[in-house]
Amino acid sequence: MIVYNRNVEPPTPFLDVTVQHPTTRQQLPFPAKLDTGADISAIPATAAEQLRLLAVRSIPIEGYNSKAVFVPTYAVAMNIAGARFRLEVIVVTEPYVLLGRDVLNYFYTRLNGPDLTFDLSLSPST
Amino acid sequence: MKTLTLKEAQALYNILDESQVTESALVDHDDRPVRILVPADEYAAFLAWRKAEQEQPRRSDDDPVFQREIAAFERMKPELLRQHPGRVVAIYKGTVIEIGSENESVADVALRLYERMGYLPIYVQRVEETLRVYKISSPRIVRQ
Repeated sequence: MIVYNRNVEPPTPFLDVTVQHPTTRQQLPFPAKLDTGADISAIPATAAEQLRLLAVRSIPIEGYNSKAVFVPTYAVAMNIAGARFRLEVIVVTEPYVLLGRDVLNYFYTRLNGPDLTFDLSLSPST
Repeated sequence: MKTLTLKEAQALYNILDESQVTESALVDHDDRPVRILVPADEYAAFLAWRKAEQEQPRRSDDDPVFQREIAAFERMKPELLRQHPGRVVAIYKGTVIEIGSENESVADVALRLYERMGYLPIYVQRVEETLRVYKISSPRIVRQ
C-alpha cells in the first residue's frame, strides 16, 4: 500500500521511480504521478539534460486544448514498483515523472480515495 | 592565428603586451600548444554562451545530423510503407540499419541498437501513413 502525496492539492497518487540512461546505466530517482489521462509517459526535462539523452524521433502531442505540437522522444529504462520497463518518453517541465497508460496498463492499480492510499502490482491482489 | 612561443619566463610578460592579444593567439611551449590567449571580452562572451548552453535543455532533435536522418526517412517512406508497414525502422547516416519485428516498439528497437552500436543519434520511427497523435489530456491547475 502506498500513501498519496498530501503535499499537493488535491492529494495525488505518487510513487518513487528511477529513470536510467540506456547505456551508461546512470539512474536518477524521481517521484512519479499516476496519470491515466496520458497516452505516453514523461520525464522531467532536467532528467533528459542530466542524463544527456538523445532524441529518437519527434511525435505530435495533443494537450487538453486540442493543439498538437511536435516534441522529441527519448528511449530510457525505468524502474517502477520493482519492475524494469523499456520506454519511449517525452519531457515535461514538471519536476516529477508522469506515468501514462503506456506503463499503467501493465499494472493492477487500486485507488482507495477515501483513505488516500493505492496499490500497484503486476499481479492481481488476493 | 598568431603563435607565441614560451621559451623563458620573460616571454610570459611579452605576450601580455596588449598589442598582441587583441585577437586570439596560440601559446606553445616545447613545440606543444599549451594555451589559447583570447581577448577578455571574447572570453566573457564565451562564458555567457557556455552558461546559456548548459541551462538549455538538450534538443538533439534540432541537430542538423538528426534532421538529415528524418529527411532520409521521409524520402524512403513510400518504399518502407510498401515493404514494412506498421514496423519500426531505424535510420543512421541516411540508411535503414534495422527493421523491428512485428510487436517491437520504438523503445525496444532504439535500446537494442544502443546496446549494439553505442549511444548514437539514431532516428527510430514507426512506418505509418499518418503519424499517431498522442494525447496528454490532463489539465493542471496553476495555483498562484
